Amino acid sequence: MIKFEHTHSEAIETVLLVDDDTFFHMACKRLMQRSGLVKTLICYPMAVDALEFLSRSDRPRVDVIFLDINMPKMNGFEFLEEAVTRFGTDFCRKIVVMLTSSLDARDVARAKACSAIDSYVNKPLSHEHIASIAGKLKAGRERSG
Amino acid sequence: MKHANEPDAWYLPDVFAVSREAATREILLAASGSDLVLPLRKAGPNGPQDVRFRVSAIRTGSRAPEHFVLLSQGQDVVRAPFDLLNAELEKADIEARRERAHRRSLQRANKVLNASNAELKSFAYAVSHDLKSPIQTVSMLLSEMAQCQEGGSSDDLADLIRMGQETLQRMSVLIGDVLRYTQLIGSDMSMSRCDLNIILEEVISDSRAEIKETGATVRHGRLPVVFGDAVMLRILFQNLIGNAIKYRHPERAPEILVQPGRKGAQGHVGIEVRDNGIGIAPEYRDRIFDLFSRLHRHDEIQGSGLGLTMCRRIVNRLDGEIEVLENSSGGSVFLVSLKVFKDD
Repeated sequence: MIKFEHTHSEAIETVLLVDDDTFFHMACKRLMQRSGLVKTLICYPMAVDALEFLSRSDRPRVDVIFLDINMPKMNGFEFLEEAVTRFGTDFCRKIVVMLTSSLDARDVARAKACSAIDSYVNKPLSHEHIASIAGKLKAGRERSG
Repeated sequence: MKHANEPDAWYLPDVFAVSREAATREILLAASGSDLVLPLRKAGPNGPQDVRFRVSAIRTGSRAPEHFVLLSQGQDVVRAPFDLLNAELEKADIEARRERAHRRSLQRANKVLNASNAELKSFAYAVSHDLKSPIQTVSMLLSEMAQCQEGGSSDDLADLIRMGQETLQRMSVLIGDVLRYTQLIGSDMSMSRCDLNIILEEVISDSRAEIKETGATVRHGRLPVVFGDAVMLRILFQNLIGNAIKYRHPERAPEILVQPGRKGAQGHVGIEVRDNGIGIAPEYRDRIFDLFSRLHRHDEIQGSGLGLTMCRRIVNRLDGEIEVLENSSGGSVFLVSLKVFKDD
């Protein structure tokens, strides 16, 4: 768990990153730190470990999950299906799927069936992606409250 | 083909009271039912007269008639036209069969082509995906390096450079494996007698650096002589032995045993490659042969996820099978079934 300092007032509280590439974690960490748009970042290279984290009763609320699809053992879709089954649809406020390239035909069908997904972004992850998600979360908060 | 106004024109087509096409159709219809009676016009001194006769279709097993026989007795006058018609029908039937066989073989070829096109398509997709992934990581790492230059620590910069280099190294391994895999797809095979004892000795000799480095022992029992392609078999066992070393248990030196195993289909022999490594959990066993399928992260164990796909491809081309077996004592057991070599 990484807590960033000097964040904006509208920064996302907690981001969960699930991606098997640990160098990608490093790059994301630096990017999010610089953006000031994320307060806490939690990274898991394996989806099973992220599921275990979500099952903990003492875990912080997760605002955004940045999720990779192609991962060893359990892929992104399997992770989401399992998470929705176990924790319902409200285990996280926004689920963002990170795409390496366009989805292939099989994945498109699977993605459509997965209503938990809020949006897709193309890798590499950029400041704009994070800013856009932070903006959506803020708009959601203002509407609801 | 005889013409109607030639002297012996009573043969065809005039012998039938019905049109020749109708007669042909009638006779062919006999294929689906009982005998039939066909009106025939006999050319006699007093002009044509109707003759009724009986034909039957001969079939052996298949539904299509192979031959038509004239069953009516004492109808010599229709024997000749009937035989001629029969010959024509047979000829047409042979051609139709040939045509059907040709169409079937075309359909088969088309199916194979479609399957291989689909495979290539999914291969291209998977390759582009797996190549793009390290590029995206390097691209982000480079952005971070640029940021570092504007005021970051040199330690950070060194770290980022190392990560970039390792990611590119991973990409290089992947490209090498993709190249080997595609060469394998297109290469011709020369099937011959292959002594697996010799092939395995060669593989062990080629891997001696790896074996020494990891303290592995590779033993083999008396292996069969198979009918296969020596180069392919070498790649196959190189991959299997290489995997057994690569996926070794952190607390014990790899012990690999290659020995005869459970027999497969008729005319095949089984060979098992048994190791004491980390093993493969049952729930992942069905996907390990899939393209780019990996069970480990790149920072744990390097690899492209193509090795076992390559093994399956080779074994399939050699008309054999490969599977991973249940192993209660830990480690993995791969069972390969190959065609046995027959002297004749």
